[in-house]
Amino acid sequence: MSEPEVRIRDLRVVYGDGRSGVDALGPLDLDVMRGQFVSIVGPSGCGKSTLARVLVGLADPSAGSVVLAANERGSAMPSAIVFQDHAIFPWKTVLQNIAFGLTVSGVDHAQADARARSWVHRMGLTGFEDSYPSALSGGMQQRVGVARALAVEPDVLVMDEPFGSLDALLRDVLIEELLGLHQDLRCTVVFITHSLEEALVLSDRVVVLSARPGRILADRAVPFPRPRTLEVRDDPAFGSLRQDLWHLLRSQVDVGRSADERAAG
Amino acid sequence: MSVPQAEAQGSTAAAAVAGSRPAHRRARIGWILPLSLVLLWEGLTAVGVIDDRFFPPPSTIGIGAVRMVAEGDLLGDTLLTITRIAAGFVIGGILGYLTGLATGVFLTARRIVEPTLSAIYTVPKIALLPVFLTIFGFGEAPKIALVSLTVFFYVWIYTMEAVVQIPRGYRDAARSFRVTRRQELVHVVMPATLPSVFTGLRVAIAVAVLVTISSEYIVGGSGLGYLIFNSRALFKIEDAFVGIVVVAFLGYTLQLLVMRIGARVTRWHGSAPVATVRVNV
Repeated sequence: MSEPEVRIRDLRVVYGDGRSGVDALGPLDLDVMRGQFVSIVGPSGCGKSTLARVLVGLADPSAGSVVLAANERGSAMPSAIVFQDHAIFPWKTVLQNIAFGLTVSGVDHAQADARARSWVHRMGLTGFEDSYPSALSGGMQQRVGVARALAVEPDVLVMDEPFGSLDALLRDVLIEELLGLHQDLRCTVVFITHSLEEALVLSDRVVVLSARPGRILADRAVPFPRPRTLEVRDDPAFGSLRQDLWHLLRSQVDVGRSADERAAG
Repeated sequence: MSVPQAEAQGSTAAAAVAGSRPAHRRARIGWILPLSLVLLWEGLTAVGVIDDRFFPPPSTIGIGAVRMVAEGDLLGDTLLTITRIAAGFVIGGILGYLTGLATGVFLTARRIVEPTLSAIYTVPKIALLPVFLTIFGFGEAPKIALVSLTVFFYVWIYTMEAVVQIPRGYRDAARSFRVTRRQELVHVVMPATLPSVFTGLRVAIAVAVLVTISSEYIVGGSGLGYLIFNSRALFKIEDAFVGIVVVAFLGYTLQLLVMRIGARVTRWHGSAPVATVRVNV
């Protein structure tokens, strides 16, 4: 592990410009190693989604740098993202959605189709290839979203609160599925969430951000061995780690609130 | 990854239940009111409550229609009217769609043309007919141009609004795969706007009928609009009513056609048909 897969230096993002600009994020330094699963946890509005957008090129840094090693290697798809909502296109079938990234990057039709079909199978969507998303449940829609991002074989998978709109039971199911996927693929993942539990179950590292503008408050290794299951939650060490991070996060929620009140008053 | 099958099948079963059967029943309910009105009308003329010199009963109108078809002028006028509507609808629809996409996608284009187009939009199109007669002379051109203009505005506005209102998430999802602008247009903008475009087309076809009939009346010579107003002028009230009924059927059929095509093209859009919209002009 010499070169980090993601190398963030002195990153700052400001929305708007001049005096009216709002500091959204940073300054922030972060390295993510290849194959590492890193969660970014923070209070609402701390800029964690902004970080996700910067990683996939949907937003530009106002200062500092974000270097993806895959870019230097000339990778076809250095990063891909899974969103919480509007994850998949309602006007495309399951198969077309999953093949989307391949289609637009010029992979020939037969190959794109074959790769998409293998993802359909892998995600347990067999039989729904030609269904439109409106006929799928929320959990299945999100599986399509995950498959679409993974089908392009991105070097870094960014997930922006992917399970945020699912009910608790379904979320657990998808977390287990994601654990299995990561076990098989060993892909680099940056996982944005506001759930400490999600972060601790899934990650090798949990990074806690402060209230806006988000800076790193804590960066903790998660010691549980892989392969993991949800049972890791029953480990006493899990509880104490969560407690520990919760106190940090809790203080930031209060900071955010009083800042909002000042702004409103 | 394993999938809970019950979860999946439950949702498709629910979709199937919410689908076609209630829609059919709704369609059948829609026939009750017009049929009752026709029967009431027939009955009230039969007992003399309604004066059949001014409001001939449906049976007389039906017989009149058969006579007019036999005489040979009704079908010809209907065909002429349909041709004018269709020509204007196609020309105005294509131009409106393209303009809508362009002004929706490019903010600068929107800022340049929107005030001008909005100003013209509020002018009742029929008021422009004298201007068009001056520009295009007599014949088909001024009528078709007027219908085109009417259709253009509806389709333009519906398309532009739809483009502007595409949820940012769809575009972000596409852009995260580093799409080109052309790919974004083809894979996101055009399909995302289709339901609204078809709502616009449906409104447009209804107004196209109205404008065509009005301009036929003003310009004269041929078409259902001329037939209705000329018959009335000659006190052939029965013939005028035949014309009115044909126009009503024509408007209904054309709207239905546009809705059917829209439902076919936007199959993905849940099971809901194209939104019902009423316009007053």
